Amino acid sequence: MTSMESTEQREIRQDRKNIIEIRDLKKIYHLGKTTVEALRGVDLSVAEGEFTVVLGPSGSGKTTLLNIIGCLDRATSGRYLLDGVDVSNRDFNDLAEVRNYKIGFIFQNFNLIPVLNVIENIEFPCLVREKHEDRAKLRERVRSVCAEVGLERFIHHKPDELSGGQRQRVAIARALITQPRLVLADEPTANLDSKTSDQILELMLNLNREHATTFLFATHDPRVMELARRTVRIKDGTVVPD
Amino acid sequence: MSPLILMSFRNLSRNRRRTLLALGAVVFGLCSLSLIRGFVNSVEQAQLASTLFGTTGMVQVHRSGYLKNVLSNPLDLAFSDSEEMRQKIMSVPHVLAVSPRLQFSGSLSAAEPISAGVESLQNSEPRTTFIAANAVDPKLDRKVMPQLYEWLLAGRFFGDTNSMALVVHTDIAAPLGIESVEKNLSQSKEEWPVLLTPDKDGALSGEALQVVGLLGSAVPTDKRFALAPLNTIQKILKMDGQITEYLVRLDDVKNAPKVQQQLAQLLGPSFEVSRWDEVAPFIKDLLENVDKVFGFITIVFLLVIMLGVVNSMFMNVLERVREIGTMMALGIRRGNILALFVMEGAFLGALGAFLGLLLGFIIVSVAARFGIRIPAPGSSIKFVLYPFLTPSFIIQSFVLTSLGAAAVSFWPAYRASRMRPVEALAAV
Repeated sequence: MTSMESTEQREIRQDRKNIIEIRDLKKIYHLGKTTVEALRGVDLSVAEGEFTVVLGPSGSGKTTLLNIIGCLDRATSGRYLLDGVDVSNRDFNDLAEVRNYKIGFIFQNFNLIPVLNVIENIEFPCLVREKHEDRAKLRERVRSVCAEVGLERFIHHKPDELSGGQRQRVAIARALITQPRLVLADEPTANLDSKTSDQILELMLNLNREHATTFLFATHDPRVMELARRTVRIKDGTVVPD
Repeated sequence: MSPLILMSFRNLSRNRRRTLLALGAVVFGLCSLSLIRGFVNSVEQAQLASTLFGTTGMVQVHRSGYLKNVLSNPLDLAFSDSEEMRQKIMSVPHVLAVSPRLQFSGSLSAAEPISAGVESLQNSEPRTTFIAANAVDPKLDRKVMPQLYEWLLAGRFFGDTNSMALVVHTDIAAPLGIESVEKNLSQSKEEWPVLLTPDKDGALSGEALQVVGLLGSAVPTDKRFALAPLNTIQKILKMDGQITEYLVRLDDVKNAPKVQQQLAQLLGPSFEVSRWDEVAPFIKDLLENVDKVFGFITIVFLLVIMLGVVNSMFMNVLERVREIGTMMALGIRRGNILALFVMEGAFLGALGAFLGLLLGFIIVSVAARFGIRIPAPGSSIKFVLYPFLTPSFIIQSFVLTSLGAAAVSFWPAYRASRMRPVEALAAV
């Protein structure tokens, strides 16, 4: 297979449904007269419930791959099935819907909306949907997610009144409120001190275990790599074989 | 949509200084616009009032053919004034008062001092002046033309219709050598100026009349104007009981067309009923042109205001690129991004318009309490202007500014909505 993983993990993966299934994915950028091949035929499968780290130096195509997996960008060619559905050639609003329902994002800089308080930030992805769920039920869910990530006391705070760790907890809660099939975390601990990083990682591991939510990380943090059950290495636009 | 409304409103307080600057431009613009409109309204109102209550009345009744033959001698179209006729006019709904008038023209000559020698007569300037006058019953006329009776600058009005008196425009007084009315009032009959006026057949009749009052006017063209007692002039012209027109006052000038129609029906084809704006179409044109000019000024103001809004909104979009990227990652649709910024612009416009109009309204109300005294151009009368704003102006300005701000925000909002999520997220 294309990555480092334990025999046990491989067995689990083979039993489970694939959340991500990528075949021969290519991405070519045109910069003036030159063309840059950021991805040169990537094959990758990630099964439900996996806790995977994507590694690679800058310029390796790691960010491009994560952007495509996150449906933020489209590949030039190849196939990408997310949760069994081909999302390779969807338009903006279709992809927005896919992101909204199936993917949770956790960013390095937390990316909270500064004018919204904790509750409003967390419920935001549910409120921009075309079909709203019952407001009271949503609030109920938001409160229980807040409790899960340890934010009960801060629900009415604005992001600038929170510490870095608390902000990342809000971001995690926001990623989880939609009950996504996949959570993409791009350097989630890069802006946190080591103690807070550990807490945040612990929280994500727990969530992974309890909800069987699939996590995909891009990180340089060795502690994340230790905790990850699978590591995927990218180099020069391809996945490096084990 | 509710989080978007909330966000677009809260976003206004994010960069306070910029919001205040953009808001300040809208407030200042709308406040200035209100002040101009309030002032223009008061000028228009004063102009209209001086026309309706000082020059033409609201509705006029003449013998048929009057308006077509303005250049002919008005006496040719004289008709009999009667109590029955007045009652008939008064019976029409909305009519408040009616005043019979006899229009005539003639020359007014100062009596030459008998003691003066031939030499002094030769050296003296001509002391005759032309007048275009109205003979009226002051008691009735005052009810129809109240403003005209406020334009008395010196002296008094004649009390009854038989007195041998005259009220003239100040410009007529000077050539007649009348320096002050007080001095004039003490003169003996020999020293009174002589009115020479042609009757229906063109024969001149003359009579000495005492100038008892001096009149100003709001309109520069009225300088040949004089008022004389109705019976006295009827006797001089040998036209007992004859008049050339009735001026009619209504409860509201808006009812003029209705009253015109009813009066025309009631009085039959031998009479002609005209509205004020048919008699003085230039006044109506003037008022309409003032409105057009104001409309143009409004557009210019709004364009400048909108430039401020669109600039501020572009800055807002540029400042929040990563936030836009985040919202896109969270699955917001392009239409919602568009709505977010359009609403933000609309809120900015609406808030600014509200504050600007409120401020303008307060200033206009204070000014109206005291009144603004200004001289009317080319006339001897001082107008007191009472600025005011109509509800329709306030509503229109508010809606136009809010919608305009939303419309111009569409441009930056569209740019925001077309961003690519990957690039937006990567923005610093």
